[in-house]
Amino acid sequence: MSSLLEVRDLTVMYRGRGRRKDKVALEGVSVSLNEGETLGLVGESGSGKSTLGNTVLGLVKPERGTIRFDGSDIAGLTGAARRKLSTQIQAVFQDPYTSFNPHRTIEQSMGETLANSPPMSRGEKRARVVAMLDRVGLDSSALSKFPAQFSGGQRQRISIARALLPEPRLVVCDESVSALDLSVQAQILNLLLELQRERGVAYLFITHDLSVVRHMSTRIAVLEHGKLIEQGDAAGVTDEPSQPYTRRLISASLSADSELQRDRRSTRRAMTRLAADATGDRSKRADEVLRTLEHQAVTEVFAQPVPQSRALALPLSRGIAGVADVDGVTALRAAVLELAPRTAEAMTPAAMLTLVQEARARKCSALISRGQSGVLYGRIRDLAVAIETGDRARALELVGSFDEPLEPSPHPNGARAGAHTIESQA
Amino acid sequence: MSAVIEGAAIQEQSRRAAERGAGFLPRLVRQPIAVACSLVLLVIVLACVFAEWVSPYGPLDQDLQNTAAGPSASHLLGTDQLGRDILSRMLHGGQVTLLGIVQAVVVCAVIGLFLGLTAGTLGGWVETVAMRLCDLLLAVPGLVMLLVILGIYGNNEAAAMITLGVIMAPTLARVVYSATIAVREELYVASARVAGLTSFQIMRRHILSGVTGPALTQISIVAAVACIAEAGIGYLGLGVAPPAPSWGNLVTDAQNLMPISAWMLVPTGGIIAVVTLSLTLLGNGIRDAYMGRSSGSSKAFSWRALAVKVSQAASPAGGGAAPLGQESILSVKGMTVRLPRGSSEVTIVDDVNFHVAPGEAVAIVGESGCGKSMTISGVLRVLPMGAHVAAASISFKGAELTSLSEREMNAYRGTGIGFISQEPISSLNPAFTVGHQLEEAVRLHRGVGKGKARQIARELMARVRLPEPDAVAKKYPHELSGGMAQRIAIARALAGEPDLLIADEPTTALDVSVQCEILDLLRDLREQTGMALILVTHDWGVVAEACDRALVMYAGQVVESADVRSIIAHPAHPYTRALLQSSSVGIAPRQLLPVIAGTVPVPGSWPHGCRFASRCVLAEDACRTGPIPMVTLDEGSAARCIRTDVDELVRT
Repeated sequence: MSSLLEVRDLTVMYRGRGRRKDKVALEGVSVSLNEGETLGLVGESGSGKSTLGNTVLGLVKPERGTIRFDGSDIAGLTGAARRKLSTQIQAVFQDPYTSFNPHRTIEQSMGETLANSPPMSRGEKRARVVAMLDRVGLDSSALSKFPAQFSGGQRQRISIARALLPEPRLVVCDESVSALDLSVQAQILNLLLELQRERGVAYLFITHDLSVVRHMSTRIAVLEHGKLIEQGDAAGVTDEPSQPYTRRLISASLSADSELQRDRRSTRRAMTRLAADATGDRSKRADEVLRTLEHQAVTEVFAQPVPQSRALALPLSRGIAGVADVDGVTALRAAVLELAPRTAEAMTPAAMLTLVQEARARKCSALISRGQSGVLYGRIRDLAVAIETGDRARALELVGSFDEPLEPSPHPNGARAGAHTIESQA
Repeated sequence: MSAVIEGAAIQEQSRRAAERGAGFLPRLVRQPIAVACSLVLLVIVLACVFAEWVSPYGPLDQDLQNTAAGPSASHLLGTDQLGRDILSRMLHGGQVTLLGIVQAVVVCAVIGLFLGLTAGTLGGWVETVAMRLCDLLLAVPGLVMLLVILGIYGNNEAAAMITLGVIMAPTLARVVYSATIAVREELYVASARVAGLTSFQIMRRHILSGVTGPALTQISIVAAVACIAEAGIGYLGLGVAPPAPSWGNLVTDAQNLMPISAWMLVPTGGIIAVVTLSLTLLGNGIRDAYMGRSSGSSKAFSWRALAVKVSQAASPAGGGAAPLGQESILSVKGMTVRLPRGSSEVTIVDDVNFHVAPGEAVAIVGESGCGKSMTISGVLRVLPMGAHVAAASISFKGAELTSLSEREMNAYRGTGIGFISQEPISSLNPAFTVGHQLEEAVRLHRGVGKGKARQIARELMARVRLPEPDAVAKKYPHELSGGMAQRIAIARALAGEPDLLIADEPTTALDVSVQCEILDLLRDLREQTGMALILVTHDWGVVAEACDRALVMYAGQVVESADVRSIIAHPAHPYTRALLQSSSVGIAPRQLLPVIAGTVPVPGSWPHGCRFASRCVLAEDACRTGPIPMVTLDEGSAARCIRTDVDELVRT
């Protein structure tokens, strides 16, 4: 299937004036978007994501590169040829307060997007505007009102109605929901999704909010300082990011789950301590990182809509015989971190990864030397069961007990002291 | 305190927005001064234009019986040295003067608008050429040029006034140019370009409407200046030649008459003063109408109305106060905040009760317009003009804040209670380096000398983990990134060693990775200093990450209060639950999200019963009959809902 929008090797410069230097806003960026799909563009401020949107809209002239829309290059188009495209490419901007001229009525503002559509009578035009307003949940009394008479959410509905009026094939949504409250944001996201299903419009969805982009997109492209970092299908980029920058973005986004947030914080702090600790007891700090990561993995699994223990299936299927040696135990235990995308080894910073792996190997050989690899196998199997049955408390208890000797111990204190001795010998 | 001011600005905006519903003219008509000035000008212009019919005598008719006479029945404004009727001469002379004003204004408007609009809309080299041309014209000494032109064309009024128009054009061009640039950057101009409008259409529809106000104001000033200039030319004898009258010539005549009678100066000078003043005041009116300001309101001129009123209300049942035996650093009981709207008041925060324990982090959560920011503004007593705070008690570390004077209150702000806002960069003064501002805060709050303050400032910068504090200290706010500016704002808040830090959406404007760092920093600072925190936010992720307890606000009321873990896991109020579910977490990608239908009711239109009832799935008749009290649920948690019993059932 050929792409609706195909951006190739796009470079955009903002020319400096006077003493200000030229600034490269985008450098050799290539992205593509199919008909009826959504390409999410993520990045932090200054990453060039809005510049890319504005270049597609013809508001910014590119330095180099091509933008093919429906097969033809639109990068250099100006004047009437560019204006003709307004029936095909539309936009919904961030700020619902400044995206309407305060001195013009809603009917006047909305009618603008029909400027380049085939000529129609006044009545026809009004009928289309009314029908579109009705679709986004507003009645015809809105026509003669001014933008100031609407709330932010209503104005964003009107923005969407305005953009979709000429039945475009591509809509650039530049931070379209960022300025809205959570409940209003949900209403607008739903409206965008419904309209996409009804009309097959494609969205170039620009946002800094990872959870929103994950929810809306079929594909995601990540930008940093004007360069494309990675691009792929939405699940792949958010669950198995290949680039450290993407990982950093994902691990910085917050969840409303306070226990999850606490676990993430513990991991983060353990990692900071390990990174800061150049001397001495690095192995103990690495152990701590491993422990917090494993605990977080289980909390993360239970924060998923449907907790799944799929990552554990393969190593468990090898059976107890598979964990006779250190490699087997280590592989089994490594699978715990793969339970959730955010704790997966692909997400662990490279500098940290080796230390975590060493810590795990050390722990596992201690288990083998204690003859407890079978116990670990049992506990991980129970963990899988606990996840599948939704028994969170049990799962958390199990993940905390990997390095403890056989339970139940009649003398917990004595047993722990014993375990420590074995560990330090190993 | 920028967030607080921002809150005020939003209030102001919404009020203005309501007014903006009406067009420019209706708003102008609502201003008595502007209307009066327009009428005066209209009468004068009409009288002058129809002078042939209106004036009782011809301009040159002499009544030699009555020379240099004062006002009388036959000569309403008296006569001059030659017995000519002053009123008639003024009306006829007005034709000359007003024509001169029109010539100057038209020339000035055409050149100024053309240069300003083309430079502003086209940009590039056109902009450079047009603006340099303006600079060049501004550099020409206007008076000298005027005299030279008059010298060349000898008593040619038109030449003089056209020259005057040209001289004044660059000022107008600059006003138009800057207004155009401001509008050019507006999103609605970008929208219009995306909509496929041509540059000319955009200029006509969008840019002109934004430029009209400032341009009209400037033009009214140009007219006033032209009026005085014409009179000046006439007075110097460089305008129309006597005996033909003009307002300037009449002043000359009046001056010559001075030894005999001073009366003639009154009407002749008076008419110039009246026209000039009317034009200037009309310009003010146009500006106000354009900005949506209603300067006609007498209330704005009363200083008493401007002050924030604080009163102690009768003690209600203290729903959210600290449980007995528990120490609290801040305890707010029955606080209500009202803002003036027109001639009445509207309640923004309604009977809010809460407490903060030492070292505790409390989140105030809710959507915009629910009164979160106004609640903390009420505590800090930094409210918009004319606001009214009433509370049974606002006690901070045992001191009753409601009974403090404004001056005593100042001692608490910054020192006992620190504040950081959403927009760190705009909360710093752009004219000073951040190091200077930090040192200033240290000196103010700790009473130390310059050297010591510098040292403490560096320590604070290190504590908020700013890399290279010495280099950062020399920077101006605009040179900092959002995250760095927020660190400076936190350092400044720490200068007073506060026991309570109030943060209004401190990370909303920041990138996610920076947000994480700032929240970590706040947590570490709390652990180090034992400082309590009130964090206003709409983001549940921030609540979960940074706070121990949460207050959920809806339509000016606290609707739920509980510790963060239980409020997120088991929300008791339907609004809290719906708000938590609105986030896309836990919903399969590209599926519809659960939404709360409708919108938050606006202050002033709150229903008598439960304020959430119209959007609530659980609402029944009992919810709508009367105010819903806070119901205590478990230990330390409470919800303003009578149906908390069924919640668990509905959720599963």
